[in-house]
Amino acid sequence: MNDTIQFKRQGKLKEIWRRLKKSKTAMFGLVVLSIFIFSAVFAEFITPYNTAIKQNIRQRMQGPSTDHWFGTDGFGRDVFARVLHGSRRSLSIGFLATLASLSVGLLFGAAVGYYGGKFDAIVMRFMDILSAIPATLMALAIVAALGSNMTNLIIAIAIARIPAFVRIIRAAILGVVDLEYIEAAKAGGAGDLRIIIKHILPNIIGTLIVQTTMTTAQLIMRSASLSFLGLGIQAPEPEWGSLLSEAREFLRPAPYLMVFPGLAIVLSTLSLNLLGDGLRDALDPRLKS
Amino acid sequence: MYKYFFKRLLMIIPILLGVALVIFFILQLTPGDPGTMILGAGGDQTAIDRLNEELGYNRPVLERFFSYLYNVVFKLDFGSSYRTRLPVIDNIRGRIPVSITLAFSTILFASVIGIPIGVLSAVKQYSLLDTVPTVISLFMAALPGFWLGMMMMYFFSLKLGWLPSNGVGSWQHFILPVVSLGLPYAAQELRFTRSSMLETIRQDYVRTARAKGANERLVIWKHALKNALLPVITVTGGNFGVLLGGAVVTESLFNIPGLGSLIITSIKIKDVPTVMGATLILAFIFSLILLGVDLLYAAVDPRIKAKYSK
Repeated sequence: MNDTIQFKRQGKLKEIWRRLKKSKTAMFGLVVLSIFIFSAVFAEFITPYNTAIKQNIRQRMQGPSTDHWFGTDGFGRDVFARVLHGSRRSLSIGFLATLASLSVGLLFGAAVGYYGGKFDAIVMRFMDILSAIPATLMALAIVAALGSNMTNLIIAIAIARIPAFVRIIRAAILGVVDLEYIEAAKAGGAGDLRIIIKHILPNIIGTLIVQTTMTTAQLIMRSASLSFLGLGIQAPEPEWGSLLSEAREFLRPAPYLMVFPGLAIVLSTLSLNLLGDGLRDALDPRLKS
Repeated sequence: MYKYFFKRLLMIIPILLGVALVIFFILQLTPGDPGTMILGAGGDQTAIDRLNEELGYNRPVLERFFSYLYNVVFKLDFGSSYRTRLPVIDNIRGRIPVSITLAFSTILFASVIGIPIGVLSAVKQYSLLDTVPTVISLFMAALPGFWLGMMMMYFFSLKLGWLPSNGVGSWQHFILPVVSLGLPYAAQELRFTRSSMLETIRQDYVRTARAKGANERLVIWKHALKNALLPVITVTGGNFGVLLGGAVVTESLFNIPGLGSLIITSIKIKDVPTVMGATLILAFIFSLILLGVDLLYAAVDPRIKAKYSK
């Protein structure tokens, strides 16, 4: 019995992968994203962190060359190394903040969607309150309260994103909770937790995966904008947003400084969006437009 | 129907109270006190204490919170800025027009570009008129507005000298901020219009309109678009609210004195009354916009109107 389930699941994954492979844009996204993740993980081997923070005033503001692919910044630091090591922070902030807000959103969204009633009303009114504050401002206020460092930046961005996740997950659960097979499971004596984990979650996992990729893209951008405002990662630690903030100081003498961190943001968010689009179509062909 | 909207209007009150509570206590967590922030960390401690006392900051948190609420609710008094000692409301009043101008022009720009192209690419699905805008919009949606703003500032202000790079003196000042802020939104509206339009033009009533001999242009731009626009309106309304206060980064890049930049500078110096006042007013406008979107929905769609009257 277990074998057949295992077999079926593998078949389903294979089928999704087969459909995903057909989408050229999704594959492009997957390849670009993999390159980003790979180079972030092995950044230390590509070029040591030291080159990203070591100042060399004599070599300041040199345009891109074979020695310094992306040029050097106002303090003579190698911009390629800074963008590369910046990707470690930018990407992990995006992924971790998404995971954190997804977990909290899943907990509350699943609970209120499944139980409904007063609990649902109370939680959703609280979410209404949080959503009445623009997410960027909310994240800003929280970072200011907690202090600017990477962990707090992740917490702030994640909290500001929770209401959206709760809403999406609640809606997805409301869509399946009244279906007959859930009733059948209940009649069969399954407990609430078992129903939620075994019968409901597998049905909304597609929505969750798509949301996770798309949200990661958004949160990479949001963390960049907070760092750009000086409230995220602090100098001299490199992060894409803070690199752009430094580039702004040297806009006239060294305009090339803004090009590469910006391109890194665009390429990573674009690849996540493309992958998300492709996954949505592959997971649920009915939705394909 | 009136009953429904009256109820929704009343719902704004508890939401605003909640916003006040949340923001007040987040600000309470920020380290330091306004006296130290204003006089500097190395300042004379007795002077700092005196300033905090003058500002009423030495009172217990709950007392400060409730007296703030009392003043706002019963006297419509948002207090005075800790830094300038001037009434918060005057500062906000000066900035609201700027923020509304920026948000409104951005939405207008995004819609004028996004909606027609979205319709066109849906009607000509799979042709070049569809694929080219779709690919471009994918790139646009991944662009951080402030990066686009920096690049445009470099080219159009510093290099070519065509447009002013900061401030709000004339309408030309708004071109760079609006375009850089608006392009990602235009991309979003394009995608929404396209997918909503694709669904609509396959509906029976569209076929009926064609069958009775209405010309194609009328069918698309009147019969179909009217219905396809509904989801686009929701997104646009939400975006307008977000832009009012959330355009912080663009405001700071182009030195635009709007609500967002007021809030960020005030957060940094722990000017509690200013942050509170600006956030509450923002949340109030935002809630009104969402209500307005719902009203608009009911006005365009009789089915929704019928649901509300129940």
